[in-house]
Amino acid sequence: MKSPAQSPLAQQIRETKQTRVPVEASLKTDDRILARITDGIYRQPSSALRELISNAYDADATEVVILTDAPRFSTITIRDNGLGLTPESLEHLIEHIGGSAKRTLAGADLEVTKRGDPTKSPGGRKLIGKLGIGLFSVAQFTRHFLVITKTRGDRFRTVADITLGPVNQDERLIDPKANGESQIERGHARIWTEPAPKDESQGTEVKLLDLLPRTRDELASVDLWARIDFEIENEGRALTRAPYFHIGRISRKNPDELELPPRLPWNETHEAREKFEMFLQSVRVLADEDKALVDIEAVCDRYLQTLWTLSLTAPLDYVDNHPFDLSPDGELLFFQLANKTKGQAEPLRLKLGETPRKRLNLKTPYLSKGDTFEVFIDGVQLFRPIVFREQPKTQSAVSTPLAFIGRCREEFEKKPVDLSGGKLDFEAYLFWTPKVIPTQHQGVMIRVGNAAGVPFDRTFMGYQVSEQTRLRQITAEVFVSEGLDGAINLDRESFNYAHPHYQFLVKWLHSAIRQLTNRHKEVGKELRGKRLLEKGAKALRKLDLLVEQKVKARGIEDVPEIVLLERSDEKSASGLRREGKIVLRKRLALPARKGEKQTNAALQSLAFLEGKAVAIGQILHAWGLLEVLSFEDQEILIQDILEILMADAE
Amino acid sequence: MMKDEESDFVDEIVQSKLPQHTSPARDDFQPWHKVRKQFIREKQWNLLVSEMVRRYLKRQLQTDTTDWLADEEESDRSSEIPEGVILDRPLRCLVIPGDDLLDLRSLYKDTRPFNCYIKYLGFNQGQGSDQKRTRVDVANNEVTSLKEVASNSTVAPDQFQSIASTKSQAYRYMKDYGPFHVVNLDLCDSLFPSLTVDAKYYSAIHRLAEYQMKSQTVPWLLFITTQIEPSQVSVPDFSKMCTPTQHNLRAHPDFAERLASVLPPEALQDDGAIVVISQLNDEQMIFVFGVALGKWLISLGATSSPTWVVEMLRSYRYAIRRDPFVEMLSLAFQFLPKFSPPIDKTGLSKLFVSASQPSSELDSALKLLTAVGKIGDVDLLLKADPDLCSAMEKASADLLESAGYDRERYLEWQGRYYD
Repeated sequence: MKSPAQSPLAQQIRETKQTRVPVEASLKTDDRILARITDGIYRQPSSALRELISNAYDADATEVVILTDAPRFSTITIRDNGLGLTPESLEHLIEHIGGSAKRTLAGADLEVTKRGDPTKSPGGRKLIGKLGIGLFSVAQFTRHFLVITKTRGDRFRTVADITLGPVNQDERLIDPKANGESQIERGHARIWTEPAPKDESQGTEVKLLDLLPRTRDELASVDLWARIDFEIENEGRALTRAPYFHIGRISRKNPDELELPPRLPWNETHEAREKFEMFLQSVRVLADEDKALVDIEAVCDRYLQTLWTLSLTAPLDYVDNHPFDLSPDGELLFFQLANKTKGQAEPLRLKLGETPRKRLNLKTPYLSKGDTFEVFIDGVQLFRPIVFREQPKTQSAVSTPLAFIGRCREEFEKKPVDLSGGKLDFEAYLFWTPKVIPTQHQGVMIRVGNAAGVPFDRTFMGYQVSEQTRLRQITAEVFVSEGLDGAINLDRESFNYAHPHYQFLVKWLHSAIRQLTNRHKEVGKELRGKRLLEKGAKALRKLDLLVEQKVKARGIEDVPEIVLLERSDEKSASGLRREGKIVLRKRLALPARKGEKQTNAALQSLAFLEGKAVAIGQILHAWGLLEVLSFEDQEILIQDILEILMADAE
Repeated sequence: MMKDEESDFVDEIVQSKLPQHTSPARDDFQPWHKVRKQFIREKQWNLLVSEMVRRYLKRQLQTDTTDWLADEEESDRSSEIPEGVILDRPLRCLVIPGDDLLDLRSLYKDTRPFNCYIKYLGFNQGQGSDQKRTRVDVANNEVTSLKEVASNSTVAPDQFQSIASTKSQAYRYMKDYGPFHVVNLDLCDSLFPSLTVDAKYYSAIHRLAEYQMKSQTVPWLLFITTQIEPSQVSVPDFSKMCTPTQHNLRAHPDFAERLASVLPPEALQDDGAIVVISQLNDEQMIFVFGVALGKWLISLGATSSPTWVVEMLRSYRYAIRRDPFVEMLSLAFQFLPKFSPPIDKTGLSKLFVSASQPSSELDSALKLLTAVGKIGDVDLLLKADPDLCSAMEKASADLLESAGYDRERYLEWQGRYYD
């Protein structure tokens, strides 16, 4: 058989037949897979916006402005005031897709990373991106886009007009290099500079041109409206509920007109922050008013959902407080999570004005003082829409939200670093509340370097124990400051489950849920007990007053004391009687109660029954009916009366 | 073999045209690069905007950080306030800005002394792979990156005329960015009722006025630049436009008298009431057009509630061509709100509040006649004042250079034009 073209390695393998000495070889990757990235590897339009926001964050921008002409979506602009790209970094970006200079030693030379720390931005932010594929997420939207960028102090801005190459055709190999590596052409860029005044301005704008019809339709919820049209046409009425809030609907006849005007939670006169607050408030109020509207997908069209998703995943401030900055005010109970498989969460008793951050020395979100990052979409400023105050009330026993807070640093000291993936450091909270609104906030979100790829994972990383109700009442976030990077898949929307850091997090989280569950049960039991006790004590007091009144009516001032004895204490009966007390043995005076569970409620009703036994004894005594009977008959009479009363009650 | 029936899904999935690269802008100089346009920018638009800001809007706009800080009760916020501007109180502008956003750059420069924070909405229809669009995008990027320009300012890929329909995307844009302090309609085609131009601007201006009068509460300016070609006049349209003017002619002897002093007797019929368009020469037609347009705007302001008093401010004209006669008119109008004070008719209050005098339509009309009579000829002004001319030339060169044009080539082009 004729052998195929032989590589040196293949040749060497063949030669081992004679030499009997194994060949050593490194595993190498090929560019072809990365080349595919320019076709788009993301699932949703929001992913592309998320990636571009992350790029701006990594470039130390303090502001990102996204402008669309929703609901037409003919164009989308993403404009930041970050460091901008020098021609050198633009060259690197375009000629080495997937070979980001971020997190490499070359990064500092290209001024995209901090000197001496390739994991941080020049301004000191922990980098979100690492591969240099974020920009090409725009393939989700278009095959033609513009990058306009300027760095501070430069007297020009650079304009790159980029078209992405043919869809799904054989890649063209270009520029074979001396070392045998080849590169693959996946598109074309026309780049030039425009003169600019030498000023402090800086930033990068990505303008998406000629949006793909499919993406436009998706953003404009075309499918949803089409379904409603279809139902009206065929069934005479819409079976699908139109979204409560929407950006309006473009006319099918004239793409520059709306056939349905927008219905938004805000109006034009509101300021950027107010708009978002009104959005959040409306979502919460609607969920409270209408069960069907606890789901953000029922409340909002795709555009507004995209806003919501971005606000959850982007590296933003919380709309109110960071959960670590909540202070105790009786509305919230704090616990500290243990990092052990069998550990128990301990109550975290914070002093007035003290926060979990202060007590536990929590560092998330690791921003330097004064560092801000704001994102605006079409005039709405985004915030993390997760709130911890004014939680909705339900019938459940525990109505006080519980906040479980933990931090963990695992050095994997005893394991080889090649197997462990290095250090893992994170902080986290699990927030239990009777009702999580909207339902999209149920689950756990993993943030690496202040950003998340996907919103909440409702399976809690595959938590197997059947705790369905309780799991639906938990919102959790894990803030990873070191490690886990390697476990994030290319699209940043999923994890490599096999990675040790991921596995560690799974174990930690599941232990945390167990700790939450135990504490929650305990708090519930305690609360129920306390409530019953309060209720029971009140009833008994009423009974006492009633007896006192009746006895007084018979002209007796002192209500005789009646003591109920457990079987084990019966020996003390005669002694007590000698002291002038009336003694009743419980086993004789109280009706038998079989097979009852020792629940709080059962204990409570028993206590009340005992109170009644005493009351009956006191009344009979006041009428002088008790002393005519033997001790045992006294007890049987009281038992008989109680049984009749109970029968009555049932 | 029978061919399968074709599906109709494709159009919704695949575009028909491959994306086309755009190219850098070239130094192709245009009429609006001439010195006289710079005169309009500086001596009309920017000057009037500055005057309005100084006179009416100082407290409305964020003109000075110390100014508004004084309003804040808690002074401890001051440490957090970054230099410049954080409040959403910009000078809001609606513009038809052209590809280089020259007018906005110029306005920015001239309003610097007042620390105006500018937020603009432009309309320019080019889109996507359109060659011109890139130029707009680059210019827009540059202007929005200026420190005192709102970074969410934008140039919408729509025509201004589209705002006429409340369903249009353009109308939505207007509502999102308005209400405006300055509306500058530097029209590519003409407002002049002409046989050649199918202008839908009147509905759009009507819609704009409706929106502004409903939403704005402070004075605002409307600039209209339009080409006029009397030889192409559409008589029926022009007559319709003259209706409010004719009403004044009939009702107000003062008005009729003044108009008669400008127009030839043949243009006014026996009863002095009707303007006979065929009897007007080019100059007179421009005059009548200015009056008619002004009267139309006055009537819009007078019929809204609360009413708005409309005044023509310093306006200019310059020649495009002599034969046939084509002229450019650059008109400025100021809209002042007129609110009526509350009157206590019961006598419970001891306060004496006089009812406001209803604004007199005739007063406005007479003022308008005077203003139209004073429309300045830019060509004459520049010719008469060489210093002014060279100052404008320098300013124009600065402006174009800031927009990426070659200064030397520009000066050469400009010189050639004047020779």
